[in-house]
Amino acid sequence: VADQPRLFETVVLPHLDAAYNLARWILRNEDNAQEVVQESAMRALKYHHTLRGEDALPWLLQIVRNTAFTWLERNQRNDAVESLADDTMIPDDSASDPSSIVSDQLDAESLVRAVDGLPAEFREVIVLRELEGLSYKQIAQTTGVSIGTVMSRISRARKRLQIALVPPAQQELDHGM
Amino acid sequence: MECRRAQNLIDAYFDEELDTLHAMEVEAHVHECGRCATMLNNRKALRQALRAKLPYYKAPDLLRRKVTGNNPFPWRRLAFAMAACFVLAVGGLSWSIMMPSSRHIADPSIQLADAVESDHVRSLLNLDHLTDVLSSDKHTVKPWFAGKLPFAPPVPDLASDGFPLIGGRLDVIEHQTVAALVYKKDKHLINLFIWPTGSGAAPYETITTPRGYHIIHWIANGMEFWAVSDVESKELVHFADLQGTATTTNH
Repeated sequence: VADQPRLFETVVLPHLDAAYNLARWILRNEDNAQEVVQESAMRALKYHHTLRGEDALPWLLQIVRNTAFTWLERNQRNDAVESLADDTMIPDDSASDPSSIVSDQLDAESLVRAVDGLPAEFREVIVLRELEGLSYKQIAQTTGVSIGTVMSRISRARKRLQIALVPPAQQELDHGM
Repeated sequence: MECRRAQNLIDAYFDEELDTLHAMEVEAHVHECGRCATMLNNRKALRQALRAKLPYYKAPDLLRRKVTGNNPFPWRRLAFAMAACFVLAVGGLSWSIMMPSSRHIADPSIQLADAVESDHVRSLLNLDHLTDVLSSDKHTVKPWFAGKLPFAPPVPDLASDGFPLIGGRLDVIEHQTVAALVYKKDKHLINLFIWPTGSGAAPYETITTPRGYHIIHWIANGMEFWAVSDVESKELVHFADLQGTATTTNH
């Protein structure tokens, strides 16, 4: 079992950026993210014995995201799990011709706005997949859901982002754009 | 494959999480279907944009100082930094723990192999815990285990065969305290985990993990042996043979 000093040096400090980045995206606020990461570091030390034979990063990020979600629930959770079920806004891909996205035409500001506009559970899978480069298995470990759920969340999150960034051709026609 | 099915799988395909068979099906479909090809291209463009332009918020200095200030073990920092440098210099192994493994592990013996591998990697990354008893002398290492384990692991001297003993330590694998012997082969380290088992004997079983480590498992004289290393597979087989011979002649 990893002892506490080793855990601090090998797990917490090297992954502090990853921990903060995830907390920052889930909470959308710097101060709260700092608070959550500090609390997570303490919890990581306290629960160091639960790290066994697995990747350290998902283990640490799981503590961070759980702490962050607890924080959201306690404070200002307005984009709760309910919104996960609500995909009525999203047209079925097979029903509308997808527009083409050109990455050069997307600016940082609109990307941040699009990601911030996602429900927290979608924000976290986008961050874990695209910014941390974690596998589905690692994301499942981090978020505590099945690999199948990870797959569906990532897929739905990307569809939402796509629509937020480039409205589908169908919508453009409907709104006379 | 229908569009609908292809679209359900397109993200897993794009993330390289599909098994070969399904991946080939999706690939074939995308090749023929313009609409699904556009979807896939959109995924690529989206990722490109996100990875290039979405901010990665680094931990602010203040937070780093606060967290470090909470570190109850500040004197360990220097030792760790030195150990980390040494590991990078010796094996360049640390990259392997960053490679995500997408394989789903269900088989209990595979799971055990996974635990053995993780312990091996962790022992390399934590040189302060590579060995509890640092000695190339089996007459030092073997008695060291005596008071600490309810069994006596065989500790053969294989230096003349090119596998010098580095030392030993106690480790925990799947909630069981085990003996870990550390041998060296050129610049590579070999961890040999040993613990008692009910069954008498089992032949060599070799496993290559997704991260590229070789593992050999066997049972002899009522003990489990798990050798793990990044040496070439034939070298590890040679090591296991020597261990096997030494164990049999010792008893």
